Amino acid sequence: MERLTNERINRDLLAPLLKTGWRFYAVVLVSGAVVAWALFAWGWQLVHGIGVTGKRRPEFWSLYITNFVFWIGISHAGTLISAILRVTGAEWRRPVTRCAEAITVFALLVGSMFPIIHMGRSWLFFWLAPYPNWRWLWPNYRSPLMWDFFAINAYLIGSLIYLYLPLIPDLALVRDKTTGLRRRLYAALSLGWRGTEAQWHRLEKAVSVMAIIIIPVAVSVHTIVSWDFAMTLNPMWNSTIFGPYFVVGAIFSGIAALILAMAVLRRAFQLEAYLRPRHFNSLALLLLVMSLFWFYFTFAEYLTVWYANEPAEMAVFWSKVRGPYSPLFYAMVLCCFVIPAPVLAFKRLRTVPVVAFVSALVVVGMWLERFLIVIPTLGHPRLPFNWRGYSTTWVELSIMVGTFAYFTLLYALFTKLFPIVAVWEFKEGRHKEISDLKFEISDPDYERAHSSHV
Amino acid sequence: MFEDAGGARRAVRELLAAGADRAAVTIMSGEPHLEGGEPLTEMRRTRIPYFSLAGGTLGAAAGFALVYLTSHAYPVVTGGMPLVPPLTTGIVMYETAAMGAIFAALGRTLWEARLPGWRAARGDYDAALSDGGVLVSLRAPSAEEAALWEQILADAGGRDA
Amino acid sequence: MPHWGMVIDLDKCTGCEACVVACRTENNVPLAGEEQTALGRQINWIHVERYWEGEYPEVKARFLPVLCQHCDAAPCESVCPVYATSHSPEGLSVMTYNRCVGTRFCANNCPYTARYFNFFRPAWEAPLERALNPEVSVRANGVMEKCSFCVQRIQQAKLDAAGEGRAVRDGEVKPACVQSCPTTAMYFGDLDDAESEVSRRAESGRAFHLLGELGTRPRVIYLKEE
Repeated sequence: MERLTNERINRDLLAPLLKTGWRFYAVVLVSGAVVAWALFAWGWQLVHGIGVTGKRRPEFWSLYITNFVFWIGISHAGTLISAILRVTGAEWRRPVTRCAEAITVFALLVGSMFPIIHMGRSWLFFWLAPYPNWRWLWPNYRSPLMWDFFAINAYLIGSLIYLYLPLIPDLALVRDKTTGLRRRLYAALSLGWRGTEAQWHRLEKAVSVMAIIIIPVAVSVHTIVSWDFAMTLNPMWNSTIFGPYFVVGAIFSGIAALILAMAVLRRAFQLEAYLRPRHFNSLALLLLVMSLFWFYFTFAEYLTVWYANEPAEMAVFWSKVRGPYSPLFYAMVLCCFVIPAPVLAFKRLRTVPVVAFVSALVVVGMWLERFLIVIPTLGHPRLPFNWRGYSTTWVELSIMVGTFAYFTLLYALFTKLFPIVAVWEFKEGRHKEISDLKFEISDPDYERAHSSHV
Repeated sequence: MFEDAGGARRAVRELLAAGADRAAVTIMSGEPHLEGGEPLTEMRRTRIPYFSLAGGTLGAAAGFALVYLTSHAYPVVTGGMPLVPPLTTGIVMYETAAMGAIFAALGRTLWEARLPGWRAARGDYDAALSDGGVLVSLRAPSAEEAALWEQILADAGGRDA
Repeated sequence: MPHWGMVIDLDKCTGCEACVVACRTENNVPLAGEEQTALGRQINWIHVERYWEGEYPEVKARFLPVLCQHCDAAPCESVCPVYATSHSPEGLSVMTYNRCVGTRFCANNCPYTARYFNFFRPAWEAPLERALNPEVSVRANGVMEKCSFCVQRIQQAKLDAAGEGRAVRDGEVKPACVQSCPTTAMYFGDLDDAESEVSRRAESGRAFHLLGELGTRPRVIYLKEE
C-alpha cells in the first residue's frame, strides 16, 4: 500500500470536494425527487387536515412522533463518538469524528421537523417560542413539549458549533487548495485561519470545553424526549425508566447509524486507508455493549409491568407480546439483540460487511421499538371502550421516506462541500503516534514531556 | 518555511536564545504540533473554560427569569397546580445554561484566536502550509536584527517563503 | 362563586344517547360521516360507553356516559405547550380554540379519552349549517375540542341573573345533555352549594369518581347502579 504522506492524505480526503462523479448527481437527483414528493404529501396534509394520515382517536400520535424520537435518537451518534471519546482520549476516534458530527446535525434537522409536521396547525409552530407579543401570551414551560423546544434547540446549536469549530482548519486547507469563487467562499468560512500556535491551542481548548458541555446536553435531550411519554398517565408510558432507557436506545441506534454511514462513505470515496477495520471493530464492540444495555433495560421494563399485573398496563403488554403487535415486537427483539449480540461477540465476525449489516438491522429494530412504544399504549387507553387498532396512509409513509431522502441529500451535499474525515485531526493523530515513539526511544523525560500537554 | 515541526522548534529555540522577543515570533502549521512541551511563542493562559462557566451561570439565570417573569406577567389559571414549579423550571434553566455556556465558549474562542482574521491571513501566510510544512514568521524591530534572524533560521534549515 | 359539577346516575341511564345528539346540536359539533367514524375520527363531546357483562343468555349491557370531567387537577392542562387549555375560576376546564396549535398532547394525557381533535375542516352539508348555534364558535381544522359544560348556557344564566340583581338559582343552568336526558339521569349545579341538587345527590353511598384513583379530582360524580 502506498505510504500515507501529507500530499496523499490531502489528495484522498479532498477528492470528493474537487471532483464530482455521476454517482453524486444520481444520489442528489433521486433523493431530491423523493423529498419533492414528500413535500407534496405534506402540502396535501396541510390543506386537507391531519385526517389524511392514519391518526385517529385514540392514537393521536403515531408515525410522526415515532420518526421524531427515532431521528433524535440517531443524532446521539456524534456526541458519543466525538465528545466522549475525545474527553477520554481515545485516539482511534480521529477519522470518525466529522462523519459522526455531521450525522448529529442532520439527524437533528430532520428530526426537529417532525413536531412541526405533526401539529394540526403547523403554520403556528412559532407560538411555542417565548417571544413578547401584544397579547402578553407566553408558552407553558411546564409542558414537556416546551422542554423539547429548549433542549433540541440547545443541542442543535451546540452540535452546529461543535461541528464548525474543528472544521475551521480544514476549511482553511480547502481554501489553500482551490481558486476563484470557491476559494473566496472557503476563505470567508474559515475566518482567516492561519494555524498559529496560539490559534491551535485555543481551538483545541474550545473543542474540549464544547465536548464537556455537549455530553450532558445530549443526555438531557433524549431524556426530555422520553418525558413526552413518561409524564403522561398512560399505561406503559408512565415509567420512570424511560429517561435512561431512551438515552441508551439513542446511543445504540446512533452508533449503528454511524457504522452504516461510515461503511457507505468508505466504499463511495475509497477511504479504506482511513476508515480501517479497527475502527469498525471498536465501534462494533461499542454496539455490542449498547445492545446488551438495551436488552437489560427492555427486560427490566417488561418484567416489572408483567409482574405487577396491573390491568390497564397488561392490556398494552399483551397487545405487544401476544396480540396484533407481536410480529413487530419479536422482529424488534430479533433485530436489536438476538442477532447483533451473538454475532458481534465474535472477533472473526466483526468484519466491515458483517458489522454494517448488523447495524442496518439495529436501525430497523430501533425504529420498531419507537413504534411499539408509541402506538400500542395509545391504542389501549384506560377506558376499554375506546381501544382501537392502527393503520397508516400514503401521506405518512411518503413523509417518512421523504425524511430519509432528505437526510441522504443533506449528507451528500455535506460530503461535497466539506472533507468528511477531519484532515488536521487525522494528521495530528499520526504524528502524535510517531512522536510518542520517538520520545520513548530517545527522551528519558518522555513521561514528563508527554503529560504536560493535554 | 521548515519541513517539519522538530526543525522549526529547534530554530525558534535558537532565535529565542539569540535574543528575539517571544511576542514577535509566530509559528504556523497545518496541524497542531503542541505535544512534547510548552508553546514557544508568547501565549497567555486561555480563559475559555471560565468564560464558558460564566456563560452557563448567566444562561441559567436568564432561563429562570424568563420562566418566572413571563409566567407571572399573564398568570393563567391552572386550577390549583403550581404556576412555576421548581422541577420543571429547573429543566428549562438547565437547557438555557447549556446554551449560555456554548455561546460564551464560542465567543471567547473567536476572541482569543483573533478570528475572523482575514487581514492577517492575507499578509502573513503561505498556502504551502497545507502540504505539511511549518512556517516561522518574525517581526523584527530593525533591519540588522532582521538579517541576523534570517541567518539563524537559514542555518537551522529553513527555506525562504 | 359557584363551582360547577355534574352528577350522573348510572342506574337511570338507558344508553339512549339523547345526550349525545343534544350536545352536538347545541355545540356545533361536526359530523364525521360513516367512513371516518369507522376509522375513529368522530367527535362526541359526550359519548356513551357500552360494556357487555356475562355470557349469553345472561348478558347485560352497562352504559357509561363519558364527557370531559373538568378535573380539578387536570392532566391535560399541564401538558399543553401554548396554554390552549386552562382552568376557569369556577372549576371548568376551558379550551381556547384560537390558541390551539394541534399538538394533541392533551388528548393523549386525558385518561378518560374525553378530548377530540378536528382531523378535517368542520363542514356541514346544506342546509344543516342553518341549524348551527350562534352562541358557540365553530372550530377550525387542526384544533382540539371537548365538553365545556355548555359554558354558553352558564354565561347566559349568569347574565340573566345579574340583570335581575340576583344569584343564579339551582337548576337554572342545564347543559344540553342534562336537559335532554329522558330519564333525568343527569344533574348539574354548584357543588360548593350544600343545598344544591348535585351536592345532595353526590352524598349518596353509590357515588364514585371515574378513575378516581388517578388523582385527577374530576367534577363529575357517578352513581353506581343499585
